[in-house]
Amino acid sequence: MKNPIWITGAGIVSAIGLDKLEVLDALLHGRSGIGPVRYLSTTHTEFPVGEVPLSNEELQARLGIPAGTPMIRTALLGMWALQEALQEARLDPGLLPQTAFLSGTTVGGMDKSEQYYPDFLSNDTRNDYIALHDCGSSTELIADHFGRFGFVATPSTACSSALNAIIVGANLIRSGQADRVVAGGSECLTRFHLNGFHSLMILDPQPCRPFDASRAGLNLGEGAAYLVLERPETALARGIEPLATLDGYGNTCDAFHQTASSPEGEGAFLAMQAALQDAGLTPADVDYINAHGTGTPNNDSSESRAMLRLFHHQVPPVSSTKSATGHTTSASGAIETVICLLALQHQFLPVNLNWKEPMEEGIIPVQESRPQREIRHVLCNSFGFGGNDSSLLLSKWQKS
Amino acid sequence: MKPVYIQAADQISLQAPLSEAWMKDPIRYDVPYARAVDPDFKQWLTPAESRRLGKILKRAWVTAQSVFRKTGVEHPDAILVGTGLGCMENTERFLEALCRDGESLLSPTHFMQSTHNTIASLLALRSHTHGYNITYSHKDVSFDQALLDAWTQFRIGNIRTALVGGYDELTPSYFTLLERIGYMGGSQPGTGSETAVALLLSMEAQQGLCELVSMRMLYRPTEQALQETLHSLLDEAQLTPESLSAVMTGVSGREAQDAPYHRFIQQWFPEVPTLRYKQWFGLSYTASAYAVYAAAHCLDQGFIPDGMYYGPTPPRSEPPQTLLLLNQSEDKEYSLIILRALCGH
Repeated sequence: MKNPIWITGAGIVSAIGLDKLEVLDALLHGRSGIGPVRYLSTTHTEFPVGEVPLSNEELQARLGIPAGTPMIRTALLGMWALQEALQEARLDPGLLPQTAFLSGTTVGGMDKSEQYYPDFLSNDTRNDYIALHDCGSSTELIADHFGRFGFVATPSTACSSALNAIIVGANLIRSGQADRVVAGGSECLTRFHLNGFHSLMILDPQPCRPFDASRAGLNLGEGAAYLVLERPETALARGIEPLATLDGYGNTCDAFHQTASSPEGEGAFLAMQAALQDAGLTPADVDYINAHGTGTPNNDSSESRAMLRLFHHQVPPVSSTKSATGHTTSASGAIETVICLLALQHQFLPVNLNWKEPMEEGIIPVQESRPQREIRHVLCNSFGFGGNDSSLLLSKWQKS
Repeated sequence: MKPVYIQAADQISLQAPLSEAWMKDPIRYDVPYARAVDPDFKQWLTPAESRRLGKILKRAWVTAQSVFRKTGVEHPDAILVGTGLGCMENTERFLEALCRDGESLLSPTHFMQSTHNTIASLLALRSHTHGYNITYSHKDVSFDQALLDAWTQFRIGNIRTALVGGYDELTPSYFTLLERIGYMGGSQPGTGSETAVALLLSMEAQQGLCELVSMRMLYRPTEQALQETLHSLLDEAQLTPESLSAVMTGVSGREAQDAPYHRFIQQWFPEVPTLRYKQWFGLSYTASAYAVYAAAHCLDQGFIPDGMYYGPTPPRSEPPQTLLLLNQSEDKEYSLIILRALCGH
């Protein structure tokens, strides 16, 4: 038996809520945060998005950052979510030097780069933002807002970045290199990736319909989420019990195509299988799967195939909460892990919104939030471009 | 834990590609910006691959193939890549089109190859490797984070072989941007350039270039934290500061960037010879990959080129046995790595 990893704090910000309570309420009432563009400056107003309902200025003011400080939205969203996670785990600044911080992102400072790029090339007026362009800068801005973390790192595996940050953190704990880590990810909307996904023709001008026969693409979203992971000893030293435990995980590569998933969902299958093996569980033990479920024809059929194979057609309740939050890209793995945590704590199944008709050889997603049995073990899937497929297994905390 | 060996290490850089000719006959540069010297891609790639893949991807696949051939390991248990800026050429082309033509008629090709993980996933795709796959993008320690992840997983028994790479490409316009923020260029020394390094690490091989003894990374360490970490690292390697053959640092002649290195050496290793590598391999977010590559070959060949020494401490007379590699940036991110020569070297 591997050493247990406790989850002792979590924070989230997304289109369906600025904290865990708001997100929980939206999930329980089946409320979506996807709507017309309000904050992102884009001509593509035909595509609905899941925006965090605060402007940069509002976020900056609420975080107590002086107006005029050079800032990128990915960092602001990250700070907002990290604050909640640190408070819940009672990690004051004095404990941060013994804490690692892992934050996944791909967009980094692109929101400002795409705005100021002509200046970058021609003059010195926006140099602060050149220095904030890369992914690592957003991680350091987020970390430094709270104190002095002992180690920081930035996994960047496209849409699975945040889930892989959690896996990296868990390995640091298992190897004894860290007692405690805060891991997750942050990503804001940008014109760059909105247009990128549009060029791939995978944005749906309607609200997305994961696992539905009529699904026609994804809606982009934004947000951030972090989890505090630690060894029981360090949590107990602060008198804290876990919210849930992280019992297993798998990171695999589909190795099929740069942006598409294999028809058989090989990477997804291997990731879920590895997470179960790592946790010492069998498919029958899984009570809920939070699918990657983007709503693209390719992902949902490939992921369905992987689930049908692994669970031998006895698939447990599955849903994609991207129907509520939008696809929050690099942050999605952490946002959905926090949603899984809420499902375990509050014993409900998040409903897959906008679903009407089964797809061919697809799974039937959750339509009723009341579970048929106790939710003890959940899988959370997160896949990225390049076949970077990862899966986590979380378990309900049970006092022995 | 069984030892972890660096079994093979290859590079494309300012020096002769896929070769250790720099050890005897380094190419010297006195320009602020130069692109890496590419090998003859025809020997490694089909014409279709050559057409379709961006430069950074070609270099990544060629360096990976080279270490695969040397070791016979074709499907490593893990593929880990560090890149400071990712596939910059494609990112830039998409960004330029967005700024120039607005939000219409953008081609998917550049977007598809613009994410940072394009490189590691290409390596998996080409080598048909379904195992652990990750990319780190964190400024000057991007490569070090990838290596630390591999090291961590060797320790917990998750993997027995790993391909660890450091890759960056530097376009002329991005050089201008980095010059604006004083990272390279200007009137100070150092050649802004690119990175392509592949290492094949293995627990199974009984031989290779050297042993990866241990490593540590820190963020914004206090002096006390740095001291404690250094002690624990040396203890783990059963070394004293004086017993080190040399310390290899990332000094480049750029005063502000070098200051923390000089302080570190004066404080902890005043009697140990010091080595540098950026004068030959250039400045890049992932330049630290060349430190590991170069140190591994120095340990393997039992000699350190004269041009690598700097500082007041004279070289030791015996062949190098253990090297400490220090990479830091802005006195914030720190990486410490110890490599050891194999028996018989």
